[in-house]
Amino acid sequence: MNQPITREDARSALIRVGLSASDERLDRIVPGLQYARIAAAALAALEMGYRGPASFQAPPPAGAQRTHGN
Amino acid sequence: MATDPHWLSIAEAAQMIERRELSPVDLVDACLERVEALDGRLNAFITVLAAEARVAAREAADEIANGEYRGPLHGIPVALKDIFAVAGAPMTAASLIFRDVVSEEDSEVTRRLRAAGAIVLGTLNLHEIALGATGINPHTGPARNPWNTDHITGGSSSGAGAAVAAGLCFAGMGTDTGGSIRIPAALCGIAGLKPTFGRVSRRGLLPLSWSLDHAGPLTRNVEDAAIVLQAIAGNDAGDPASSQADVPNYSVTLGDGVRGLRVGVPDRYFGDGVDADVDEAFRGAVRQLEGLGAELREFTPPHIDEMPDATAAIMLPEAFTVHQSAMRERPEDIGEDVRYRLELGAAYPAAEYIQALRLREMVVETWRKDVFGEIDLVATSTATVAARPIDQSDLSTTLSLIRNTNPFNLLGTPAISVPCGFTGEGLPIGLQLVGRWFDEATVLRAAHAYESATDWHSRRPPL
Repeated sequence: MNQPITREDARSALIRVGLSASDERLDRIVPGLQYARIAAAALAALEMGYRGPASFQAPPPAGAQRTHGN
Repeated sequence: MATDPHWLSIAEAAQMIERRELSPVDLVDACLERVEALDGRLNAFITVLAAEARVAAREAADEIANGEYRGPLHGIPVALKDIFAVAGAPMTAASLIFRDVVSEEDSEVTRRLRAAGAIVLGTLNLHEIALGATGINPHTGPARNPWNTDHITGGSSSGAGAAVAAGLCFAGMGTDTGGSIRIPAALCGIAGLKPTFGRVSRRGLLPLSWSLDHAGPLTRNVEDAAIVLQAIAGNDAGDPASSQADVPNYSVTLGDGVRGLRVGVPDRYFGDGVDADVDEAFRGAVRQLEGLGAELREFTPPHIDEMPDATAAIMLPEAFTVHQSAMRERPEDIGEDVRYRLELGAAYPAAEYIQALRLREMVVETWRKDVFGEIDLVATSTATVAARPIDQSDLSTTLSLIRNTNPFNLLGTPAISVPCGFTGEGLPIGLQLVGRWFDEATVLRAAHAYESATDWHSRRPPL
């Protein structure tokens, strides 16, 4: 998660959605993507333990059910 | 000296129209003359529908003469940000991509405004495709702040801010995905209301980010915002996010004051990096609310550091998906700042977007319980800065403008900006009041109480 994003990472991400960009443009995008990745890590940390609203909750894994005896 | 008709409030003009002391024809003419005189300097309008407005005004006058008065918007000149469809008129989104688009039918907001008798004067300038907070636009040029035309209006509803503040129209319809109604309202010295997510239909609007977009009015005072909201609020099956919540009569509680209301003042984040003039004005506004009988409560805003990141992780990918064909086929026709944001949105991994959507559920529940379970309103400064010079507005300006507003797009709560002071340079400052979901009535009531105790909203720009 903490590996720096490279120009090639940015190029790959854009190619996946049908875009291309010059090296100069990619160099401008990289810092924004780097920030987004850091922000995503913060969001992921916040998310830990959150199971979502009841309607979104998937049943726990079968192993967990066995562990809890239900 | 009688007030010039273009400076009347909607409520004042409506009374005169109902009594037939003022004709919609004269009112529309007064606004069109003002557009003619000033819009060359302000650049607020993209399309002026003068002939259509005059025909509609004549029809309104005839209806009223026949005893068919529809209510407080009958005969009132309004204009809409150029992403609201107006039948037969261009809807350019202030972008080269949409410059040849002509709307076949009205947006739901346009339809409801017309049904209430409002007269559509035209469409208003904006930050290109509504993706930006300064209002600086390489295609249409910036709308200029009526208080100092070298300064930005804020955006993205930039033309609405300028037009209403300068008396070119009585209400401007805007959209708000990260602050785009409240920011230009604050920077131009007028009221701007972002209703609850789902309260006002977005059918017939060009989306920016469909799960964060809100539509609402910019007006010269709070009572006028309530009048416009009354006309446009309510369920519309044509917008999948439209709520079926009942719409109360906002005029009934507008004058109830703030006595006993619990107003929360955040103890962190919202005060960070605030300009001294803005901070002083905000503190003065909070003291004023306390003096009017509100109970102030300091609180720690939960998850506030993560909320802007979650907002960006939703907004940017959604905006890219809306505009991806243009980004593939003619990216050179998109302004540099907007293209950059769309490229970022294109590169966000799907997992981050979905993570942010899930987090929003958690954050909403936390605020519902821990914040709005204890207080009735949150008070902050609307922006952390006043209007910057156009030639000095950059990405850091944008971040300063959206910092205090965009958390409430993630929450979807109703929020209003009202004038609460001026900088030493004579530029307006905004107070933001935020309420519970679908409780616009309390937001409007508190804002009206504050406004009634101050005169910031009654000052006029030196045009």
